[in-house]
Amino acid sequence: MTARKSKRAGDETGYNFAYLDEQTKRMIRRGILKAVAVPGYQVPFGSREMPLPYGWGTGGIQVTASIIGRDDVLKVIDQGSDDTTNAVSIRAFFARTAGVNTTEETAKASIVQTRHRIPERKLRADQILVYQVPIPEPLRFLEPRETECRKIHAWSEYGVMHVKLYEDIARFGRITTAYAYPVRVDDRYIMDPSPIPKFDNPKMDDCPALQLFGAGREKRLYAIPPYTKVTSLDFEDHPFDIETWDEPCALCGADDSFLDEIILDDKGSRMFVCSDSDFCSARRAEGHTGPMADDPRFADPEPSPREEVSHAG
Amino acid sequence: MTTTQPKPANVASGATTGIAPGFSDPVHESQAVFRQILEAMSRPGMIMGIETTAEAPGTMAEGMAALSLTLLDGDTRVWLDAALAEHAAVADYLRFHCGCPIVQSPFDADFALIGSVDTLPRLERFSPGTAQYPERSATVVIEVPKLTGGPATVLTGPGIETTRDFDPVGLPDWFWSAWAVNRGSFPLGIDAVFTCDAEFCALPRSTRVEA
Amino acid sequence: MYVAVKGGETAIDNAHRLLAEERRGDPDVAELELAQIDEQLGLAVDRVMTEGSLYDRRLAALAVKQARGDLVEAIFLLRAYRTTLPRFGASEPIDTAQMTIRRRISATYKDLPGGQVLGPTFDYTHRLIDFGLAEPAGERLTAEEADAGPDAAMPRVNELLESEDLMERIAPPAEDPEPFDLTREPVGFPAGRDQRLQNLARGDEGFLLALGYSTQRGFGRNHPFAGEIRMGEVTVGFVPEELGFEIELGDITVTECQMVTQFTGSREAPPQFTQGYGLAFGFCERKTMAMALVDRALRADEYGEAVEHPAQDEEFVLYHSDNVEAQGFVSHLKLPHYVDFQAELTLVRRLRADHETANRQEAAE
Repeated sequence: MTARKSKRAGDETGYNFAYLDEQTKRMIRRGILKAVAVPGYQVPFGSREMPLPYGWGTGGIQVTASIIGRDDVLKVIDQGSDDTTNAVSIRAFFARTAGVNTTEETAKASIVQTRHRIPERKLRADQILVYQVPIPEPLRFLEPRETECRKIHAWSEYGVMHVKLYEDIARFGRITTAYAYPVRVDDRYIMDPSPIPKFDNPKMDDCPALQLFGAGREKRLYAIPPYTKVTSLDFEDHPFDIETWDEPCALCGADDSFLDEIILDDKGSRMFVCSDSDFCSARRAEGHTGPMADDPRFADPEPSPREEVSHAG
Repeated sequence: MTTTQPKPANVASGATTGIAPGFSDPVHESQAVFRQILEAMSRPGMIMGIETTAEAPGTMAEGMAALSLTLLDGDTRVWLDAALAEHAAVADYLRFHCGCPIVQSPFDADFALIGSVDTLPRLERFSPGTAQYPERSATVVIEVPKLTGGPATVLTGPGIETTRDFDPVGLPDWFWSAWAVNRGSFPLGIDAVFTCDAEFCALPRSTRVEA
Repeated sequence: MYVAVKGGETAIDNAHRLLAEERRGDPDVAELELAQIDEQLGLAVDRVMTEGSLYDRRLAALAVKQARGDLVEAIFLLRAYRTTLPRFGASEPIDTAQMTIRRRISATYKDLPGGQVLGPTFDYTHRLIDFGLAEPAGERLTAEEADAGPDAAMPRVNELLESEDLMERIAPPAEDPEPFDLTREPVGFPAGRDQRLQNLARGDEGFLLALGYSTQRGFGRNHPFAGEIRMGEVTVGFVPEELGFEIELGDITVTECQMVTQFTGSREAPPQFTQGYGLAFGFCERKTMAMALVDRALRADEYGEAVEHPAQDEEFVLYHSDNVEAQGFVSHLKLPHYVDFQAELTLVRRLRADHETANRQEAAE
């Protein structure tokens, strides 16, 4: 991976540092503070039209743009990977408009913006995780009306959610929500964790890092402060559980990470590899191997050293 | 394609108006100060420091001035306690740099700036928000004589791994029982920030306090 | 293959280059100039300005060019640019009664003061492909100028009805507060009429057209008459803080539609007609008519009408009218979702295993 070059922000772009104007940043910053003070509550905010489409991370981008500074090191992932097209696009947006340094290594980032995953490596207290959220309202598919949902949250009358989960159990024998699995924050608000697989839910609990959530199209901000109790909804006789795989990562041998299923041919043969690409390559760099690690099809074309921080400018 | 950005309200030096100068680099200084505030709000009771080029007006301390420059603008209604209101320089500074409307009733304020704990109104005089919109509440910024060395309390709740000791100096004796009421009305309630010169810490409404 | 998800950066760069090439098309064909778009595809420019919430013909023409004629994409471009613009203040309200009329029709009166002015309308054209347009005409077609321009006095139809007290009077709210601006604040419910009209003005023409149409077919019927449609130029005035008096910023073209709709009345109030309102930049007549129908449908609550149909449902209409929001969220389905799909795959396999086990047990028993 070559260092990403970008012009210093403001040189050529003609836009303010990190794109947003200062008044918009202040509005979002005030909203973020409220979100932190009321964990799990969705704060409405005057979301702006961004140069990327709604649904493509405009909420996360606005949050990141409002918190990021020149000294930050930014990592952007989509599906756990730094190299998926939308992650590349968002990372390039900040390298261009804020001139910040970027990295693919979770450990080196001060801000991680994510879509659909929480990194496998445990986050630290000096890191902030920013989630892109499509539908922030955990009750939306039970009650499409904003006015009704707001009342349910206000009075903490979450019976409808438990009924839904229980109906799952009655029909299928288990809760059939595999991602965006609802959580309760500090025993008060039910919150949508964004469409992360439920595998990632336990990482939200008691996490040393601040977690911020931005939903641009739906114009909502919310937060989980560090070290906050986050519980996945369940029942005593049907406790919450997470996905497991019958085999380890084919490349790094990890048996405790979320695996993507890769179809290898039209005969249905497949392999499983870590969705968190940084986690996987770090393990391989440390010498861990999985059953297909030696397969020439998956060898890096030119084994590169572990990436350092890419310096902008 | 280029655009001209609006000149931030707090970029002007005010040199010719007798108003104390704000940030010399508003974009990056306010970002740095905001991150300190965010950290403080995320980790209740943890003491943060501010480095700023801004000068504070009248009796206002520099930390509170930096917080004001960072968070206030034409969309925030601000109330000043008697200690700050008696110096016209404070309101002039806020109007000039932030363009914020100054309100007469604490209940109308999004932000209340308290220059002296002696003139801190009862907490119920500030807006706690509504059940459906708890964010429509006041943030109360209180200048205290010292952030540590006062009567000991122990904080628990979101943002605190186990417990955190908290012992600011000079709070009125009713304060902690009033805070318990504030915490009891969660998710409604005010959020507090305690400043002392260039240092500060925060107490969001989610924090439980054992006095 | 596993490696297929790698190399995103190069793929994006290449896609951008290809897009630029396709946008230009065959280099032997003359490149479009903005003036051509503005002059000859003016209605596209009008729609982009209206739904893009920005009155700037040249920028809108540029957006149409950059978007290769995809108007929703052009609207998105204009919106994203608009949010970066500094805001100097709000103009004085425009006065459409003072409009320099280019078109003005009323369906509720055969004739009325000021007369009916057809203007540049498609209405009575026969929709026959004009093969003559296939080749550049060369010479300029001009319309004959009328002996006299439209009468200066052209009172609005609603005012005629109001003077007889036959039309509800809508006064600005007490103290005439500055209208809500949903580009700065999120919508809240119940939304005021200012929020609704702003949302509808920015709303997708196709969406509003279908909703308006649905009210005509009985899904929220409100007996509309096109009371008046007018199109022309109005002056925009602005009072700068430091001057304290109004200065003229210039003229803009707008289209306005006032629907005269279902009368109401009660024991206290004598029967009166009600109204729906539509306004758009440029000449967007279909948009303003649809907007007026939907505006009226959304006022059901005010008149104690049951809210039973989509067009009357404030949350449904306001949350789904914006094509920049809608196209974004629909198109985001193109982004990779393989993590969530993997989670579902795992779940479905487990459910199938459960199912099989249960069946086997049943068979054994």
